[in-house]
Amino acid sequence: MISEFKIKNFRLFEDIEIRRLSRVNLIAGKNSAGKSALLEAFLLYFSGMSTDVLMELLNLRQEDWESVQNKYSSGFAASGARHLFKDHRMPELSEDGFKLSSGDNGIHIKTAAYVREESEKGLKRRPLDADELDHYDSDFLDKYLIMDDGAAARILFSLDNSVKDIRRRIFSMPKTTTMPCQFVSTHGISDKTASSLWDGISLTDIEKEVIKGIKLIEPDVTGIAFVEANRSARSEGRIPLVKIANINEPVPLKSLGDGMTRIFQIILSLVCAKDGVLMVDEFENGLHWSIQKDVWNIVFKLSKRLNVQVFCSTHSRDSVHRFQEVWNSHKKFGSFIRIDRHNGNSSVKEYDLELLSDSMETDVEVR
Amino acid sequence: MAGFNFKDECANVVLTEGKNDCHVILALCRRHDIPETFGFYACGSDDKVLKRLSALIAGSEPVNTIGVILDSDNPNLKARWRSLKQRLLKEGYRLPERPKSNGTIVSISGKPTVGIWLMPDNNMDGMLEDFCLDLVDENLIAFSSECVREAERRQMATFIDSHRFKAVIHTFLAWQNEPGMPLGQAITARALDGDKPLAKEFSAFLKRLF
Repeated sequence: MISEFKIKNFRLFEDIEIRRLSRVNLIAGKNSAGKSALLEAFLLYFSGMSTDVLMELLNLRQEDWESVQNKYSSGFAASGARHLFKDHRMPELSEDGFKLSSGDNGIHIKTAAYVREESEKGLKRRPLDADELDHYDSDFLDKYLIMDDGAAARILFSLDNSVKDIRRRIFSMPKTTTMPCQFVSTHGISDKTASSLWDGISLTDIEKEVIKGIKLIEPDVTGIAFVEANRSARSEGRIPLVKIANINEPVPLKSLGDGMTRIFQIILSLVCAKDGVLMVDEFENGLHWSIQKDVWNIVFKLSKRLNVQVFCSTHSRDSVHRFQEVWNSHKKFGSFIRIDRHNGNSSVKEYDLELLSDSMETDVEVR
Repeated sequence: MAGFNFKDECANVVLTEGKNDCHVILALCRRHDIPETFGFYACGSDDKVLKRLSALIAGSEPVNTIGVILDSDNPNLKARWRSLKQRLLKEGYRLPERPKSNGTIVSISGKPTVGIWLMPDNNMDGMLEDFCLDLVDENLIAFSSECVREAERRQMATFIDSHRFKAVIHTFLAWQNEPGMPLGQAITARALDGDKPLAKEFSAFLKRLF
Protein backbone atom coordinates (compact mmCIF):
# COMPACT_ATOMS: atom_id res chain seq x y z
CA MET A 1 0.00 0.00 0.00
CA ILE A 2 1.29 3.46 -0.81
CA SER A 3 0.75 6.53 1.36
CA GLU A 4 2.07 9.16 -1.05
CA PHE A 5 2.29 9.62 -4.78
CA LYS A 6 4.05 11.98 -7.16
CA ILE A 7 3.32 12.61 -10.81
CA LYS A 8 5.47 14.56 -13.23
CA ASN A 9 4.67 15.41 -16.82
CA PHE A 10 1.87 12.87 -17.16
CA ARG A 11 -1.22 13.83 -19.21
CA LEU A 12 -2.37 17.24 -17.92
CA PHE A 13 -0.24 17.08 -14.75
CA GLU A 14 2.98 19.00 -14.76
CA ASP A 15 3.94 18.21 -11.21
CA ILE A 16 1.60 17.13 -8.43
CA GLU A 17 2.04 15.37 -5.13
CA ILE A 18 -0.44 13.63 -2.86
CA ARG A 19 0.76 13.12 0.70
CA ARG A 20 -2.21 11.54 2.35
CA LEU A 21 -3.25 8.25 0.78
CA SER A 22 -4.91 5.50 2.73
CA ARG A 23 -6.71 2.19 2.31
CA VAL A 24 -9.78 3.61 0.55
CA ASN A 25 -9.25 6.84 -1.36
CA LEU A 26 -11.90 9.05 -2.92
CA ILE A 27 -11.01 11.66 -5.52
CA ALA A 28 -13.24 14.56 -6.53
CA GLY A 29 -12.80 17.44 -8.95
CA LYS A 30 -14.53 19.30 -11.73
CA ASN A 31 -14.76 17.98 -15.29
CA SER A 32 -11.34 17.80 -16.94
CA ALA A 33 -9.57 18.45 -13.63
CA GLY A 34 -7.75 15.16 -14.06
CA LYS A 35 -9.57 12.59 -11.92
CA SER A 36 -9.43 9.87 -14.56
CA ALA A 37 -5.85 10.81 -15.43
CA LEU A 38 -4.93 10.30 -11.79
CA LEU A 39 -6.56 6.86 -11.74
CA GLU A 40 -4.67 6.04 -14.94
CA ALA A 41 -1.40 7.11 -13.35
CA PHE A 42 -2.06 4.79 -10.41
CA LEU A 43 -2.96 1.97 -12.75
CA LEU A 44 0.20 2.34 -14.85
CA TYR A 45 2.34 2.69 -11.74
CA PHE A 46 0.95 -0.37 -9.97
CA SER A 47 0.90 -2.52 -13.10
CA GLY A 48 4.52 -1.57 -13.85
CA MET A 49 3.45 -0.09 -17.22
CA SER A 50 1.86 -3.34 -18.28
CA THR A 51 1.27 -3.16 -22.02
CA ASP A 52 -2.24 -4.57 -21.84
CA VAL A 53 -3.25 -2.01 -19.21
CA LEU A 54 -1.72 0.70 -21.35
CA MET A 55 -3.59 -0.40 -24.46
CA GLU A 56 -6.85 -0.64 -22.53
CA LEU A 57 -6.44 2.93 -21.28
CA LEU A 58 -5.66 4.31 -24.71
CA ASN A 59 -8.59 2.37 -26.11
CA LEU A 60 -10.98 3.78 -23.50
CA ARG A 61 -10.03 7.30 -24.56
CA GLN A 62 -9.96 6.28 -28.22
CA GLU A 63 -6.35 7.39 -28.34
CA ASP A 64 -5.40 4.25 -30.22
CA TRP A 65 -7.06 5.88 -33.21
CA GLU A 66 -4.75 6.03 -36.24
CA SER A 67 -5.34 8.73 -38.75
CA VAL A 68 -4.63 7.88 -42.36
CA GLN A 69 -1.85 10.42 -42.33
CA ASN A 70 -0.11 8.96 -39.32
CA LYS A 71 -0.48 5.39 -40.45
CA TYR A 72 2.13 5.68 -43.14
CA SER A 73 4.38 8.31 -41.72
CA SER A 74 5.15 6.76 -38.38
CA GLY A 75 4.17 4.12 -35.89
CA PHE A 76 2.47 3.97 -32.56
CA ALA A 77 4.34 6.96 -31.18
CA ALA A 78 2.49 9.43 -33.32
CA SER A 79 -0.93 7.96 -32.75
CA GLY A 80 -1.17 6.58 -29.26
CA ALA A 81 1.23 6.72 -26.38
CA ARG A 82 2.16 10.36 -26.94
CA HIS A 83 -1.15 11.28 -25.28
CA LEU A 84 0.21 10.03 -21.97
CA PHE A 85 2.80 12.81 -21.97
CA LYS A 86 2.13 16.40 -21.04
CA ASP A 87 0.84 18.37 -24.05
CA HIS A 88 0.31 15.12 -25.99
CA ARG A 89 3.91 15.20 -27.16
CA MET A 90 6.29 12.25 -27.22
CA PRO A 91 9.54 13.39 -25.56
CA GLU A 92 12.70 13.74 -27.64
CA LEU A 93 15.43 11.19 -27.10
CA SER A 94 17.37 13.25 -24.59
CA GLU A 95 14.31 14.68 -22.81
CA ASP A 96 12.68 13.55 -19.59
CA GLY A 97 9.43 11.68 -20.08
CA PHE A 98 6.81 11.21 -17.40
CA LYS A 99 7.54 10.04 -13.88
CA LEU A 100 5.30 8.26 -11.40
CA SER A 101 6.67 7.64 -7.94
CA SER A 102 5.87 6.86 -4.34
CA GLY A 103 8.63 7.39 -1.78
CA ASP A 104 11.80 5.76 -3.06
CA ASN A 105 10.04 3.72 -5.72
CA GLY A 106 9.32 5.21 -9.07
CA ILE A 107 9.19 4.71 -12.79
CA HIS A 108 10.37 7.02 -15.52
CA ILE A 109 8.87 6.50 -18.97
CA LYS A 110 10.90 8.01 -21.79
CA THR A 111 12.19 7.40 -25.26
CA ALA A 112 15.56 5.82 -25.93
CA ALA A 113 17.64 4.89 -28.95
CA TYR A 114 19.46 1.60 -29.36
CA VAL A 115 22.05 0.44 -31.84
CA ARG A 116 22.74 -3.11 -32.90
CA GLU A 117 26.34 -4.08 -32.45
CA GLU A 118 28.33 -7.17 -33.17
CA SER A 119 29.50 -8.99 -30.08
CA GLU A 120 30.83 -12.42 -29.25
CA LYS A 121 27.27 -13.61 -28.74
CA GLY A 122 26.07 -12.19 -32.03
CA LEU A 123 24.09 -9.05 -32.75
CA LYS A 124 23.26 -7.18 -29.55
CA ARG A 125 21.11 -4.15 -28.78
CA ARG A 126 22.84 -1.43 -26.82
CA PRO A 127 21.25 1.78 -25.52
CA LEU A 128 22.92 5.00 -26.62
CA ASP A 129 23.99 7.71 -24.17
CA ALA A 130 22.92 11.27 -24.78
CA ASP A 131 26.35 12.34 -26.05
CA GLU A 132 26.54 9.41 -28.47
CA LEU A 133 23.34 10.46 -30.23
CA ASP A 134 25.09 13.04 -32.39
CA HIS A 135 27.27 10.41 -33.99
CA TYR A 136 24.35 8.52 -35.45
CA ASP A 137 21.85 9.37 -38.13
CA SER A 138 18.61 9.34 -36.22
CA ASP A 139 16.78 7.68 -39.13
CA PHE A 140 18.88 4.57 -38.68
CA LEU A 141 18.38 4.21 -34.96
CA ASP A 142 15.89 1.87 -33.33
CA LYS A 143 13.72 4.03 -31.08
CA TYR A 144 11.80 2.65 -28.17
CA LEU A 145 9.57 3.69 -25.34
CA ILE A 146 11.32 2.48 -22.20
CA MET A 147 10.64 2.28 -18.52
CA ASP A 148 13.42 3.06 -16.08
CA ASP A 149 12.71 2.07 -12.48
CA GLY A 150 16.03 3.32 -11.14
CA ALA A 151 17.60 -0.14 -11.11
CA ALA A 152 17.18 -1.08 -14.75
CA ALA A 153 15.63 0.06 -18.00
CA ARG A 154 13.09 -2.13 -19.77
CA ILE A 155 11.92 -1.69 -23.34
CA LEU A 156 8.14 -1.31 -23.54
CA PHE A 157 7.81 -1.26 -27.32
CA SER A 158 9.34 0.10 -30.48
CA LEU A 159 8.13 3.51 -31.54
CA ASP A 160 7.87 2.13 -35.05
CA ASN A 161 5.28 -0.41 -34.01
CA SER A 162 1.73 0.20 -35.07
CA VAL A 163 -1.15 -0.26 -32.68
CA LYS A 164 -1.87 -3.52 -34.45
CA ASP A 165 1.69 -4.80 -33.87
CA ILE A 166 1.39 -4.03 -30.19
CA ARG A 167 -2.02 -5.65 -29.84
CA ARG A 168 -0.66 -8.76 -31.52
CA ARG A 169 2.29 -8.76 -29.14
CA ILE A 170 0.06 -8.57 -26.07
CA PHE A 171 -1.55 -11.86 -26.97
CA SER A 172 1.77 -13.61 -27.30
CA MET A 173 3.32 -12.10 -24.21
CA PRO A 174 3.00 -13.27 -20.63
CA LYS A 175 1.13 -10.79 -18.42
CA THR A 176 3.65 -8.34 -17.03
CA THR A 177 1.51 -6.93 -14.27
CA THR A 178 3.36 -7.02 -10.97
CA MET A 179 0.29 -7.16 -8.73
CA PRO A 180 -3.45 -7.59 -9.22
CA CYS A 181 -4.81 -4.34 -10.68
CA GLN A 182 -8.53 -4.11 -11.35
CA PHE A 183 -10.04 -1.15 -13.12
CA VAL A 184 -13.77 -0.42 -13.30
CA SER A 185 -14.25 2.39 -15.80
CA THR A 186 -17.21 4.78 -15.88
CA HIS A 187 -18.99 2.24 -18.07
CA GLY A 188 -17.96 -0.74 -15.99
CA ILE A 189 -16.12 -3.81 -17.16
CA SER A 190 -16.88 -6.01 -20.17
CA ASP A 191 -18.79 -9.28 -19.80
CA LYS A 192 -15.66 -11.00 -21.03
CA THR A 193 -13.55 -9.55 -18.22
CA ALA A 194 -16.30 -10.18 -15.68
CA SER A 195 -16.68 -13.80 -16.71
CA SER A 196 -12.97 -14.48 -16.46
CA LEU A 197 -12.83 -12.81 -13.04
CA TRP A 198 -15.84 -14.85 -11.97
CA ASP A 199 -14.13 -18.06 -13.03
CA GLY A 200 -11.36 -17.24 -10.58
CA ILE A 201 -13.64 -17.01 -7.55
CA SER A 202 -16.59 -19.22 -8.48
CA LEU A 203 -17.41 -21.80 -5.78
CA THR A 204 -14.95 -20.20 -3.32
CA ASP A 205 -15.85 -18.48 -0.06
CA ILE A 206 -15.20 -15.13 -1.65
CA GLU A 207 -18.08 -15.73 -4.08
CA LYS A 208 -20.42 -15.25 -1.14
CA GLU A 209 -19.16 -11.69 -0.68
CA VAL A 210 -20.18 -10.79 -4.21
CA ILE A 211 -23.64 -12.27 -3.72
CA LYS A 212 -23.94 -10.43 -0.39
CA GLY A 213 -23.21 -7.24 -2.32
CA ILE A 214 -25.92 -7.62 -4.92
CA LYS A 215 -28.35 -8.59 -2.17
CA LEU A 216 -28.19 -4.93 -1.12
CA ILE A 217 -30.49 -4.28 -4.07
CA GLU A 218 -32.22 -7.63 -4.56
CA PRO A 219 -32.33 -9.53 -1.25
CA ASP A 220 -33.79 -12.65 -2.90
CA VAL A 221 -30.75 -13.39 -5.08
CA THR A 222 -29.38 -16.83 -4.23
CA GLY A 223 -26.71 -17.41 -6.89
CA ILE A 224 -24.88 -16.22 -10.00
CA ALA A 225 -23.60 -18.07 -13.06
CA PHE A 226 -22.02 -17.10 -16.35
CA VAL A 227 -23.44 -18.85 -19.43
CA GLU A 228 -23.07 -18.59 -23.22
CA ALA A 229 -25.23 -15.72 -24.36
CA ASN A 230 -26.54 -17.44 -27.45
CA ARG A 231 -25.87 -21.12 -27.89
CA SER A 232 -27.14 -21.42 -31.43
CA ALA A 233 -25.50 -18.42 -33.08
CA ARG A 234 -21.83 -17.48 -33.15
CA SER A 235 -20.60 -17.21 -29.60
CA GLU A 236 -20.84 -13.72 -28.16
CA GLY A 237 -19.22 -14.73 -24.92
CA ARG A 238 -20.75 -15.44 -21.57
CA ILE A 239 -23.15 -13.23 -19.67
CA PRO A 240 -24.07 -13.21 -15.97
CA LEU A 241 -27.38 -14.75 -14.88
CA VAL A 242 -28.81 -14.62 -11.39
CA LYS A 243 -31.08 -16.99 -9.55
CA ILE A 244 -33.77 -15.31 -7.52
CA ALA A 245 -35.72 -17.22 -4.88
CA ASN A 246 -39.31 -17.98 -5.95
CA ILE A 247 -38.56 -17.41 -9.65
CA ASN A 248 -37.95 -20.65 -11.50
CA GLU A 249 -35.91 -19.42 -14.46
CA PRO A 250 -32.62 -17.55 -13.92
CA VAL A 251 -32.70 -13.94 -15.17
CA PRO A 252 -29.93 -11.89 -16.79
CA LEU A 253 -28.17 -9.72 -14.20
CA LYS A 254 -28.40 -6.73 -16.50
CA SER A 255 -32.19 -7.06 -16.66
CA LEU A 256 -32.22 -6.14 -12.97
CA GLY A 257 -30.88 -2.65 -13.64
CA ASP A 258 -27.71 -0.58 -13.76
CA GLY A 259 -27.24 -0.45 -9.99
CA MET A 260 -27.21 -4.23 -9.77
CA THR A 261 -24.60 -4.51 -12.52
CA ARG A 262 -22.46 -1.74 -10.99
CA ILE A 263 -22.38 -3.31 -7.52
CA PHE A 264 -21.64 -6.71 -9.02
CA GLN A 265 -18.74 -5.37 -11.08
CA ILE A 266 -17.26 -3.26 -8.27
CA ILE A 267 -17.33 -6.03 -5.69
CA LEU A 268 -16.22 -8.71 -8.14
CA SER A 269 -13.26 -6.52 -9.15
CA LEU A 270 -12.50 -5.79 -5.51
CA VAL A 271 -12.34 -9.42 -4.41
CA CYS A 272 -10.22 -10.23 -7.46
CA ALA A 273 -7.71 -7.53 -6.48
CA LYS A 274 -6.52 -9.35 -3.35
CA ASP A 275 -3.13 -7.95 -2.24
CA GLY A 276 -3.37 -5.47 -5.09
CA VAL A 277 -5.27 -2.38 -6.14
CA LEU A 278 -8.73 -1.46 -7.37
CA MET A 279 -9.65 1.69 -9.32
CA VAL A 280 -13.24 2.75 -9.85
CA ASP A 281 -13.94 5.72 -12.12
CA GLU A 282 -17.17 7.51 -11.13
CA PHE A 283 -18.03 5.19 -8.29
CA GLU A 284 -21.64 6.33 -8.04
CA ASN A 285 -22.66 5.46 -11.62
CA GLY A 286 -25.97 3.65 -11.51
CA LEU A 287 -26.09 3.61 -7.71
CA HIS A 288 -29.01 5.26 -5.93
CA TRP A 289 -27.84 7.39 -2.99
CA SER A 290 -29.77 5.28 -0.50
CA ILE A 291 -27.55 2.23 -1.00
CA GLN A 292 -24.23 4.02 -1.45
CA LYS A 293 -23.48 3.92 2.26
CA ASP A 294 -23.88 0.14 2.27
CA VAL A 295 -21.66 -0.19 -0.77
CA TRP A 296 -18.93 1.96 0.81
CA ASN A 297 -19.22 -0.16 3.92
CA ILE A 298 -18.55 -3.30 1.93
CA VAL A 299 -15.65 -1.61 0.12
CA PHE A 300 -14.01 -0.53 3.40
CA LYS A 301 -14.48 -3.94 5.04
CA LEU A 302 -13.41 -6.10 2.11
CA SER A 303 -10.45 -3.93 1.20
CA LYS A 304 -9.14 -4.27 4.74
CA ARG A 305 -9.72 -8.00 4.82
CA LEU A 306 -8.23 -8.70 1.39
CA ASN A 307 -5.44 -6.11 1.59
CA VAL A 308 -6.61 -4.11 -1.42
CA GLN A 309 -5.86 -0.42 -1.85
CA VAL A 310 -8.84 1.29 -3.44
CA PHE A 311 -8.91 4.50 -5.52
CA CYS A 312 -12.26 5.87 -6.64
CA SER A 313 -13.33 9.04 -8.38
CA THR A 314 -16.69 10.71 -8.01
CA HIS A 315 -18.83 13.62 -9.18
CA SER A 316 -21.56 13.05 -6.66
CA ARG A 317 -22.02 14.89 -3.40
CA ASP A 318 -24.18 12.03 -2.13
CA SER A 319 -21.34 9.68 -2.78
CA VAL A 320 -18.87 11.92 -0.91
CA HIS A 321 -21.31 12.28 1.97
CA ARG A 322 -21.91 8.52 2.30
CA PHE A 323 -18.18 7.95 2.00
CA GLN A 324 -17.57 10.40 4.84
CA GLU A 325 -20.10 8.64 7.06
CA VAL A 326 -18.46 5.28 6.50
CA TRP A 327 -14.94 6.74 6.83
CA ASN A 328 -16.05 7.99 10.23
CA SER A 329 -16.42 4.41 11.41
CA HIS A 330 -13.12 3.31 9.83
CA LYS A 331 -11.13 6.38 10.89
CA LYS A 332 -7.63 5.32 9.86
CA PHE A 333 -8.64 3.82 6.56
CA GLY A 334 -9.94 6.61 4.36
CA SER A 335 -8.74 9.66 2.52
CA PHE A 336 -10.45 12.29 0.41
CA ILE A 337 -8.76 14.60 -2.07
CA ARG A 338 -9.88 17.08 -4.70
CA ILE A 339 -7.96 17.91 -7.84
CA ASP A 340 -8.18 21.59 -8.73
CA ARG A 341 -7.18 23.20 -11.96
CA HIS A 342 -6.45 26.93 -12.15
CA ASN A 343 -4.90 28.67 -15.15
CA GLY A 344 -3.62 25.42 -16.56
CA ASN A 345 -2.03 24.28 -13.31
CA SER A 346 -3.22 21.32 -11.28
CA SER A 347 -3.12 21.19 -7.52
CA VAL A 348 -4.35 18.77 -4.90
CA LYS A 349 -6.45 19.64 -1.85
CA GLU A 350 -6.30 17.00 0.85
CA TYR A 351 -9.10 16.72 3.40
CA ASP A 352 -8.83 15.04 6.76
CA LEU A 353 -11.94 13.45 8.24
CA GLU A 354 -12.76 16.48 10.39
CA LEU A 355 -12.58 18.91 7.47
CA LEU A 356 -14.71 16.69 5.26
CA SER A 357 -17.27 16.23 8.05
CA ASP A 358 -17.38 20.00 8.64
CA SER A 359 -17.89 20.60 4.92
CA MET A 360 -20.72 18.09 4.75
CA GLU A 361 -22.36 19.45 7.89
CA THR A 362 -22.21 23.07 6.72
CA ASP A 363 -23.16 22.16 3.17
CA VAL A 364 -20.08 23.70 1.54
CA GLU A 365 -19.05 22.42 -1.88
CA VAL A 366 -16.10 20.00 -1.83
CA ARG A 367 -16.21 18.74 -5.41
CA MET B 1 -32.52 41.82 1.49
CA ALA B 2 -34.25 38.47 1.90
CA GLY B 3 -32.88 35.90 4.36
CA PHE B 4 -29.25 35.75 5.33
CA ASN B 5 -28.10 32.67 3.53
CA PHE B 6 -26.26 33.37 0.34
CA LYS B 7 -24.88 30.04 -0.56
CA ASP B 8 -23.35 30.06 -3.94
CA GLU B 9 -22.99 33.35 -5.59
CA CYS B 10 -20.91 35.41 -3.15
CA ALA B 11 -17.16 35.67 -3.48
CA ASN B 12 -17.21 37.75 -0.26
CA VAL B 13 -19.09 36.58 2.75
CA VAL B 14 -19.62 37.48 6.41
CA LEU B 15 -20.20 34.51 8.69
CA THR B 16 -22.17 35.15 11.85
CA GLU B 17 -23.65 33.02 14.58
CA GLY B 18 -27.22 34.26 14.22
CA LYS B 19 -29.51 36.54 12.28
CA ASN B 20 -29.32 39.28 14.93
CA ASP B 21 -25.65 39.75 14.14
CA CYS B 22 -26.48 40.13 10.45
CA HIS B 23 -29.11 42.80 11.16
CA VAL B 24 -26.73 44.79 13.36
CA ILE B 25 -23.92 44.63 10.79
CA LEU B 26 -26.28 45.54 7.97
CA ALA B 27 -27.60 48.56 9.91
CA LEU B 28 -24.04 49.73 10.61
CA CYS B 29 -23.11 49.33 6.93
CA ARG B 30 -26.01 51.59 5.94
CA ARG B 31 -25.15 54.08 8.67
CA HIS B 32 -21.55 54.35 7.44
CA ASP B 33 -22.14 53.94 3.70
CA ILE B 34 -20.27 50.66 3.42
CA PRO B 35 -21.10 49.20 0.01
CA GLU B 36 -22.68 45.78 0.29
CA THR B 37 -20.07 43.89 -1.68
CA PHE B 38 -20.52 40.83 0.48
CA GLY B 39 -23.22 38.40 1.48
CA PHE B 40 -24.20 37.22 4.93
CA TYR B 41 -24.40 33.71 6.22
CA ALA B 42 -26.02 33.15 9.59
CA CYS B 43 -24.55 29.79 10.54
CA GLY B 44 -26.76 29.04 13.53
CA SER B 45 -24.09 28.60 16.19
CA ASP B 46 -20.49 29.48 17.04
CA ASP B 47 -19.40 25.92 16.28
CA LYS B 48 -20.97 26.08 12.84
CA VAL B 49 -19.23 29.39 12.06
CA LEU B 50 -15.89 27.68 12.74
CA LYS B 51 -16.78 24.62 10.68
CA ARG B 52 -18.06 26.67 7.78
CA LEU B 53 -14.95 28.84 7.87
CA SER B 54 -12.70 25.78 7.43
CA ALA B 55 -14.98 24.29 4.80
CA LEU B 56 -15.11 27.51 2.74
CA ILE B 57 -11.34 27.91 2.76
CA ALA B 58 -10.91 24.30 1.65
CA GLY B 59 -13.92 24.24 -0.67
CA SER B 60 -14.05 24.12 -4.44
CA GLU B 61 -16.02 27.34 -4.99
CA PRO B 62 -13.85 30.44 -5.25
CA VAL B 63 -14.10 32.80 -2.25
CA ASN B 64 -12.16 36.08 -2.02
CA THR B 65 -12.80 37.26 1.48
CA ILE B 66 -14.41 35.78 4.57
CA GLY B 67 -15.44 37.94 7.51
CA VAL B 68 -15.92 36.06 10.76
CA ILE B 69 -17.97 37.68 13.51
CA LEU B 70 -18.00 35.62 16.69
CA ASP B 71 -18.98 36.14 20.31
CA SER B 72 -16.20 35.90 22.88
CA ASP B 73 -18.10 33.55 25.11
CA ASN B 74 -18.43 29.77 25.38
CA PRO B 75 -16.41 30.13 27.53
CA ASN B 76 -14.24 33.20 26.81
CA LEU B 77 -12.17 35.23 24.36
CA LYS B 78 -8.96 33.37 25.09
CA ALA B 79 -10.45 29.96 24.28
CA ARG B 80 -12.26 31.30 21.21
CA TRP B 81 -9.03 32.74 19.85
CA ARG B 82 -7.21 29.48 20.49
CA SER B 83 -9.76 27.44 18.55
CA LEU B 84 -9.68 29.90 15.64
CA LYS B 85 -5.90 29.77 15.65
CA GLN B 86 -5.78 25.99 15.53
CA ARG B 87 -8.36 25.77 12.78
CA LEU B 88 -6.74 28.38 10.56
CA LEU B 89 -3.27 26.93 11.11
CA LYS B 90 -4.49 23.69 9.52
CA GLU B 91 -5.23 25.68 6.37
CA GLY B 92 -1.90 27.48 6.52
CA TYR B 93 -2.87 30.79 8.18
CA ARG B 94 -0.92 32.18 11.12
CA LEU B 95 -2.89 34.29 13.56
CA PRO B 96 -1.13 36.67 15.97
CA GLU B 97 -0.87 35.77 19.68
CA ARG B 98 -3.87 37.93 20.58
CA PRO B 99 -6.64 39.42 18.49
CA LYS B 100 -5.93 42.94 17.19
CA SER B 101 -8.08 45.55 18.92
CA ASN B 102 -9.37 46.93 15.61
CA GLY B 103 -10.09 43.49 14.13
CA THR B 104 -7.64 40.89 12.82
CA ILE B 105 -7.12 40.41 9.07
CA VAL B 106 -4.90 37.63 7.68
CA SER B 107 -4.20 36.60 4.12
CA ILE B 108 -2.00 34.07 2.34
CA SER B 109 -1.48 33.66 -1.34
CA GLY B 110 -3.97 31.53 -3.24
CA LYS B 111 -6.46 31.46 -0.36
CA PRO B 112 -9.26 33.74 0.83
CA THR B 113 -8.47 36.74 3.03
CA VAL B 114 -9.93 36.16 6.50
CA GLY B 115 -11.05 38.96 8.82
CA ILE B 116 -12.01 38.24 12.42
CA TRP B 117 -13.94 40.40 14.85
CA LEU B 118 -14.58 38.99 18.30
CA MET B 119 -17.60 40.59 19.97
CA PRO B 120 -17.73 42.92 21.68
CA ASP B 121 -14.34 44.60 21.10
CA ASN B 122 -11.63 41.98 20.46
CA ASN B 123 -10.54 42.39 24.04
CA MET B 124 -13.26 41.57 26.58
CA ASP B 125 -15.26 38.40 26.98
CA GLY B 126 -18.81 38.92 25.80
CA MET B 127 -21.22 38.90 22.90
CA LEU B 128 -23.18 40.97 20.41
CA GLU B 129 -25.33 42.51 23.15
CA ASP B 130 -22.25 43.79 24.98
CA PHE B 131 -21.22 45.47 21.74
CA CYS B 132 -24.64 47.13 21.54
CA LEU B 133 -24.39 48.34 25.15
CA ASP B 134 -21.46 50.48 24.02
CA LEU B 135 -23.78 52.25 21.59
CA VAL B 136 -25.88 53.66 24.45
CA ASP B 137 -25.05 56.55 26.83
CA GLU B 138 -23.73 55.35 30.17
CA ASN B 139 -26.41 56.94 32.37
CA LEU B 140 -29.15 55.20 30.38
CA ILE B 141 -27.41 51.87 30.75
CA ALA B 142 -26.87 52.47 34.44
CA PHE B 143 -30.62 52.85 34.94
CA SER B 144 -31.47 49.78 32.82
CA SER B 145 -28.98 47.77 34.88
CA GLU B 146 -30.71 48.94 38.06
CA CYS B 147 -34.04 47.73 36.70
CA VAL B 148 -32.58 44.33 35.93
CA ARG B 149 -31.02 44.08 39.39
CA GLU B 150 -34.33 45.03 40.95
CA ALA B 151 -36.09 42.29 38.99
CA GLU B 152 -33.50 39.85 40.30
CA ARG B 153 -33.91 41.09 43.87
CA ARG B 154 -37.63 40.48 43.65
CA GLN B 155 -36.85 37.03 42.18
CA MET B 156 -38.75 37.82 38.99
CA ALA B 157 -35.72 37.28 36.73
CA THR B 158 -34.87 33.87 35.28
CA PHE B 159 -32.00 34.67 32.89
CA ILE B 160 -28.66 32.89 33.23
CA ASP B 161 -25.72 34.91 34.45
CA SER B 162 -23.87 35.13 31.13
CA HIS B 163 -26.95 36.78 29.61
CA ARG B 164 -26.92 39.73 32.05
CA PHE B 165 -26.01 42.34 29.39
CA LYS B 166 -28.55 40.84 27.03
CA ALA B 167 -31.19 41.50 29.71
CA VAL B 168 -29.90 45.03 30.22
CA ILE B 169 -29.89 46.05 26.54
CA HIS B 170 -33.40 44.68 25.96
CA THR B 171 -34.64 46.40 29.09
CA PHE B 172 -33.32 49.65 27.64
CA LEU B 173 -34.94 48.94 24.28
CA ALA B 174 -38.26 48.21 26.00
CA TRP B 175 -38.93 51.92 26.58
CA GLN B 176 -37.63 53.34 23.32
CA ASN B 177 -39.82 54.34 20.40
CA GLU B 178 -40.79 51.75 19.19
CA PRO B 179 -40.63 49.67 22.35
CA GLY B 180 -38.84 46.35 22.03
CA MET B 181 -37.11 46.89 18.68
CA PRO B 182 -34.63 44.25 17.62
CA LEU B 183 -30.98 45.37 17.75
CA GLY B 184 -30.45 46.08 14.06
CA GLN B 185 -33.61 48.08 13.76
CA ALA B 186 -32.66 50.00 16.90
CA ILE B 187 -29.47 51.19 15.16
CA THR B 188 -31.42 52.32 12.10
CA ALA B 189 -33.94 54.12 14.36
CA ARG B 190 -30.98 55.66 16.24
CA ALA B 191 -32.08 54.27 19.60
CA LEU B 192 -28.62 52.71 19.47
CA ASP B 193 -26.00 55.22 18.39
CA GLY B 194 -24.07 53.94 15.37
CA ASP B 195 -21.64 56.85 15.67
CA LYS B 196 -20.14 55.75 19.00
CA PRO B 197 -16.40 54.92 18.77
CA LEU B 198 -16.84 51.12 18.92
CA ALA B 199 -19.40 51.17 16.09
CA LYS B 200 -17.03 53.30 14.00
CA GLU B 201 -14.13 50.98 14.76
CA PHE B 202 -16.19 47.98 13.62
CA SER B 203 -17.29 49.75 10.43
CA ALA B 204 -13.69 50.67 9.68
CA PHE B 205 -12.78 46.99 10.07
CA LEU B 206 -15.40 46.01 7.46
CA LYS B 207 -14.15 48.72 5.09
CA ARG B 208 -10.58 47.50 5.39
CA LEU B 209 -11.65 43.91 4.89
CA PHE B 210 -13.88 44.23 1.82
